[in-house]
Amino acid sequence: MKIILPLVIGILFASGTYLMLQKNILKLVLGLALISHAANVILISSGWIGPGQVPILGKDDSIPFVDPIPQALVLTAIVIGFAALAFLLVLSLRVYRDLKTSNIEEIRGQRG
Amino acid sequence: MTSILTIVFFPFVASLLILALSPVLNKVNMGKKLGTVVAFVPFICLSFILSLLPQLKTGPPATFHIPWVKSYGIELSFLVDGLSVLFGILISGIGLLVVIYSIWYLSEKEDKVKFYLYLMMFMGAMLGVVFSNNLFGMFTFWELTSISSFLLIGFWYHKEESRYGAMKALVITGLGGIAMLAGFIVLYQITDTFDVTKILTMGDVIKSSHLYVPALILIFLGCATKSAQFPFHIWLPNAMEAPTPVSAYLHSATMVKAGIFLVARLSPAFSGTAFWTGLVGGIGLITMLVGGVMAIKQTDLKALLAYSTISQLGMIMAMLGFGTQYSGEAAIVHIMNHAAFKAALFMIVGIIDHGCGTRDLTYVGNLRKEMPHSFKIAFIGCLSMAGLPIFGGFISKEMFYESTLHVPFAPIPYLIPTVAVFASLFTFAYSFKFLIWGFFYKAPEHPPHHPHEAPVLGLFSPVFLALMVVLLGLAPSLFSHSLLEPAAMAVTGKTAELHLALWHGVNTPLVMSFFTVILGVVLFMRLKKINLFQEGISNAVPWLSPNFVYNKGFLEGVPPLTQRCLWWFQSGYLRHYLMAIFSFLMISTLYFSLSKGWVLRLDTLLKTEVTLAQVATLVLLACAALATILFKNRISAILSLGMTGFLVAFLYVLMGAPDLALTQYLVEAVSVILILLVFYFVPPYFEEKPTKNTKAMNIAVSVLVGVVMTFYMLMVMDSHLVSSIASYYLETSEKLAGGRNVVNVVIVDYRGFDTMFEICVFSIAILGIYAMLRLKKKAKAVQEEVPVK
Repeated sequence: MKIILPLVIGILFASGTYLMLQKNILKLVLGLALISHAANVILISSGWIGPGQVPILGKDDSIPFVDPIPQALVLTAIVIGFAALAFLLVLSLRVYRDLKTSNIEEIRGQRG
Repeated sequence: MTSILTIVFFPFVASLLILALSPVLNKVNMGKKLGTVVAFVPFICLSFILSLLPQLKTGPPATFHIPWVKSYGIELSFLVDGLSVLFGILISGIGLLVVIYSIWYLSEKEDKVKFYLYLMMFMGAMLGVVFSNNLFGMFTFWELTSISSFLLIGFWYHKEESRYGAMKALVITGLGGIAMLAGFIVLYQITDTFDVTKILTMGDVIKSSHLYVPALILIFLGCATKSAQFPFHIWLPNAMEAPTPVSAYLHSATMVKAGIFLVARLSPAFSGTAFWTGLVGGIGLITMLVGGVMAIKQTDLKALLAYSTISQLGMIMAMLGFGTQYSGEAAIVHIMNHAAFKAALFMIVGIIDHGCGTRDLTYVGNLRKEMPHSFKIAFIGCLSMAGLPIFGGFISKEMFYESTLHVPFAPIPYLIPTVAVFASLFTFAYSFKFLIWGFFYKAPEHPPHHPHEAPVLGLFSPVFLALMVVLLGLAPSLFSHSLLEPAAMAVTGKTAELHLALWHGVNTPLVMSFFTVILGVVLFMRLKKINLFQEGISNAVPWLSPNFVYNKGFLEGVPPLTQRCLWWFQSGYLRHYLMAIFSFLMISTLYFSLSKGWVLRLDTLLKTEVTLAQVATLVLLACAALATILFKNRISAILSLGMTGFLVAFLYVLMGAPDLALTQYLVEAVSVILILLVFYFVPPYFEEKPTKNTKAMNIAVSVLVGVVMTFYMLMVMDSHLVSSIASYYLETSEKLAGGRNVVNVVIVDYRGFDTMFEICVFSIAILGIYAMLRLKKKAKAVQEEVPVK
């Protein structure tokens, strides 16, 4: 697990980066979503110590718990990531409506 | 010590008030009222500064501190000693006279609000420079004077020459300012303090340090650019595009003396070495000569005065450079004299300009009868400038000659006195060119208007200054004891006793003056021929002038270069920025992790157990991620992304995070729906057709990111560098917060603020989305209103 997980995270990052480097604004959004998944998984796995107990008290407190702090942070990150994703999506929609293009490189130079 | 705060900050308050009231002031027709009100600002400053005079003789210099950045010794602190008070009187006194003069000078249609706003800002900044006791505070005020000077030179910004002059002044003094800042920091390396009074006591430490020469050169660069020393003097003649009151104030009496001031201020700590004398004295003498040679050539009276100012500044700089007690005293006396006669002469040029419609000697001449009062003032001013007896200029010229006779480290005997006399010939010649050509000779052409004299309001300030010039010559003791001696003390570091008088008996300086007059008359008689000769030289070898370097080298060389750099940094392509950001992040991550000596411990990594569910999830996850980029069909790509999200959620289940999994499932479902919804309105993927290079670069950067992140994860997975505070939450969750689901307790209780701000972010996103969707028509309307250029 500990050898495969980093590899998969690397693949997630690489795919996200590749998508962000494309010209289509929607691919940019998809790439960003992939990267935020990867970042969240990194955080969670940093608190994961192998087989451990879900951090809910009351059953058997002698088995070690999984670290609850990264979970709390990632929970916040997921929600904020969703907000950012929605915002970007609507922004790209708006860009397309006003400028009739979804190519990032055509958007530049559109001032007055 | 509140008076010092009033002195420095009252002008700023006044300019802020003018700024705040400007909407009202611009509407009403003020006439002369605004200037009259503004005149009270320098008047109040002047009276406060004069009230400081008695304490100069009695006590040690007074200081006043307001801490700013304590750890670096940066503070706002002020120092009241002879030097700062002398400059303070010049700044506020001439400021008062200039404001009075400007009431007459500025016509009805000028933007007076802006004029007085800048002028007061300048006055505050300049007072700040001279009273500062901390080098950082001084630097701040110093730069403010550059900026206000820029604004004032460009006051008539519709003129090309004004903009050119303003830019030139800002570029040259600004670059000098940066050098000076570096010099201050080098000085800090030596002395470990920015406090001026402390630095002044550490002269021996400074002079014996190996950083002495770099510190001196850098600081002197700031002073030389500001005080228009050769070869940086070229900005000053172009600065004459400013309105004449500004030229009289900033570019002759005060701001250009800031460099002189700083050299004088630091001379107790820096002077007395051969390097100091060579650098400061040498540059000063060269500047004096170059300024004089250039001045006799000018036909524009204001340009003549500009070059004469350069020459006189060079003379003062030279005296400070000589570094003897006597030369320091002489410099102080001449600072006072020069401010008086030069400001008066500038005002006279303004009056001539007003009266004739031009100030060029080709059109202006023989004004003696039409402008009798101006003539008398010009007479006094020019004679003082030429260093002729009964006026102040004579006394300081004699002192200058005397000090050239005793220059330490002089390379060849008699060289410096000879150069001094030679340079003074030009001083004599341009002073008489101003006086004789302007008021006696008949001009070759007629001026646009018939000359007429200025009213009392315009004449008041120059008359007052002319009276001061006479008093400085006839009764110098009025100033010497209370004002000039404490100032000289601050420069030389020793108790000064000045015995200023017109007649010292027949001595070497008198003989030198005698020669100056005789040879000066000869030079003046041949002025026209010499001017023709000079014209020939400057036409034949234009690259001789530092202006050539500025125009060809700087103006034509630097902007294309910066533009190219800018295009390189700011290409406008998101892709370039992202590539730069990703590459930098990855390379720095790699560098730091390797430099910390992190190693891969593959053996422990390989030992951990693996379940089939984990492996299957991870493999699927990798496939889904790759599918997202490989699918050409966007619906498939979106579904792959959704797949990735769901698999990540499943991974959370396997890693003991059920809350996260739940959230991720919900969010992913909504995301996929949202993306599909948006894609419905947007056409399918267009074909990108990247070039081979682009594609290779994209793949290279992506692979770099993937590899580094994998590497990074492998290294940090097993190393718990810091102990988690999780145990605290696990122990207290039930007791303190009454909840058993620790993750939930952390979110709503321990880190409740996080959650609150998260909700804020969410709300802002919602508002933004709403705005983008609904405000369409209005935004279009605005877009159409903007005229396309």
